[in-house]
Amino acid sequence: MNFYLKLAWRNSLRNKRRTALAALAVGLGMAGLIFTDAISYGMLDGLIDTATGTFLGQAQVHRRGFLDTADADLQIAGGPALLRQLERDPLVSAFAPRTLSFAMISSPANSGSAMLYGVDPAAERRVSRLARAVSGGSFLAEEGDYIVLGSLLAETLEAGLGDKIVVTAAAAGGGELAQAMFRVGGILKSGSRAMDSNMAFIKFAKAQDLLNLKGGLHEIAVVFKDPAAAENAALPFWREYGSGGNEAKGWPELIPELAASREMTAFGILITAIILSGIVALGITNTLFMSLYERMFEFGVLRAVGTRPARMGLMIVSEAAALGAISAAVGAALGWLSCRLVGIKGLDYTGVDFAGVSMIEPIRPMFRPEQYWLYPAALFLFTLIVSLYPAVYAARMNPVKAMRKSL
Amino acid sequence: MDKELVIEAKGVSKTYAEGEVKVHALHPVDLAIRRGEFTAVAGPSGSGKTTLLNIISGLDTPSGGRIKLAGREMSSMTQGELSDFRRDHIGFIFQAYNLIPVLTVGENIEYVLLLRGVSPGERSARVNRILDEVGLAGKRGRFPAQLSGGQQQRVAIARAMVSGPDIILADEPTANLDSATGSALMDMMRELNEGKGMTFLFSTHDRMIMEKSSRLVTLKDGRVESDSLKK
Repeated sequence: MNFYLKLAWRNSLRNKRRTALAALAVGLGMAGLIFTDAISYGMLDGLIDTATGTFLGQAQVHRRGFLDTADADLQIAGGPALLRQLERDPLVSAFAPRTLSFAMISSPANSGSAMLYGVDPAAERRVSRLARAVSGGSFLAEEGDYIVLGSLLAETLEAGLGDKIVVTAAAAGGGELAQAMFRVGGILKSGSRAMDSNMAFIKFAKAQDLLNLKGGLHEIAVVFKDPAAAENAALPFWREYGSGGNEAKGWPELIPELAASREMTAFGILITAIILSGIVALGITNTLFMSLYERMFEFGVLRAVGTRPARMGLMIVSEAAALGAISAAVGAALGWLSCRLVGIKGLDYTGVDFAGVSMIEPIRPMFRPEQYWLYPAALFLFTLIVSLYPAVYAARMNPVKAMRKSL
Repeated sequence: MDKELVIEAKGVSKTYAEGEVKVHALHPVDLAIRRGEFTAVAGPSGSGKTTLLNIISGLDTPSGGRIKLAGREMSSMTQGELSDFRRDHIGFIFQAYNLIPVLTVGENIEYVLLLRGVSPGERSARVNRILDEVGLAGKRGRFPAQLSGGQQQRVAIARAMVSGPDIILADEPTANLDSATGSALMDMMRELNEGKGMTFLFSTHDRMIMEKSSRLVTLKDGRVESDSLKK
């Protein structure tokens, strides 16, 4: 080992208690940062997964203007052709065609408004978790005119499985009201208040018929093979499916609140990192100065026997490097341990809405490689930078004053 | 006989300012040390002997006068040059041994050679040789705390000598030792002086060192009071 590194390492271990306390303090700061990062991104990941996986999909294709008006006439241009194109698209893992309209839903006891979706149950199973969220009955699996109601909507309608429901919606081609009767075939309990109180689902073909769509459709939900594709605006996918009067949007555009939350989270972590860095800087500087004052005489001797000022400074930086390496290791270990422990049960905030999305799973810390290389590396580098102050002090030290009682 | 001069101090003075009060630690002093001398600078506390040695070694700067060491004017050197100069020309022995506690005996001695850029193989050989000379063969891997005071001071002597400096400056080298150990160390240094022609300059108020030295310079109130050669 290099002589100076050996000297730095031994000096770091000279006062083991002080080094351990300093490393623990600095390490705790870094562990806090790792944990904050893991839990923040874990929460966001859970929300994004919930938002995209429950029903939305990672991307959607619509006729331009449809999302603002839900006008039944605004069908996707060339919809059937796009469905065939999506089957061949190497980026796409699955997709599901849908119809969508506002509807009045009435039971013998009550009535209410809802978003009525026409869905293909087989395709939806590959795109969304709707089928798994059905708590009673089935997800349009049986032959016949069945409807699946959100659980809160069913409560409002005082409707249960098998009950008759009348759906009234504005059809395409002039806005004539269309009406059809269904039996409740399933109750959806997604955990999302918005979905459970406002959504109803009927079969795709029946919806096309009811709304007079003549084979048309309003929405295609898409799931990519690589989820990151939904955030890659440079992909030709968006142009290919967003042309001819249509628009293709990834989830960040469909739920901008969630995308903004992620940016805010990254900013929050940066602020946390800056505050923790300040604490770390003070801790390291204090430790190095304590060590320096304690060994003033030795530094005087080292200068006396011919150690150049720059070399003296380098010694301090080397000691800081040793302290930084120990602290980074301690911090990574504590960060990993805290994430593992919290990850066992997670933080239970289920049912709480955040950025317009309901949490349906406990928040679990999310592992990201950066947590275990970027943060330790940044801590190490930061330690070296803050050590420059005591290093310059050591380099400028007057050997006579340092030795006092000496020559 | 100028070429035999190791130290040539002319009119060297030092004044400290303590607020508005000026303290004259050293009045203009002339001192010449020739190669191979075994000189003691003696005097009571506050006489200026420490200040004189600090200035001679380049650890402190004089307020007036000039110093030549090994033929080089020191007053114009930068801190970095002074460090290199001390490394190459001066060996130090301190009152409290001042070994680096986290380095072994061998590493403490080796450090001086490391500063001079000596190769690892040669460093190792020279450390072994010097440890033999000071009677510490076999103690190379020990840490200072594992040695007695006398042994630690021997290590300090070995460290001062290992690079073959022009002069060894020793500040009260026996102050922390019992008289028998101190006397034995002085005898050892005297042998090195006579055997290798190494130049020693002591700062002391130990009568034993004064008696064993070949030249005695006494200071009083920052002035040379006497300067005598002994047989």
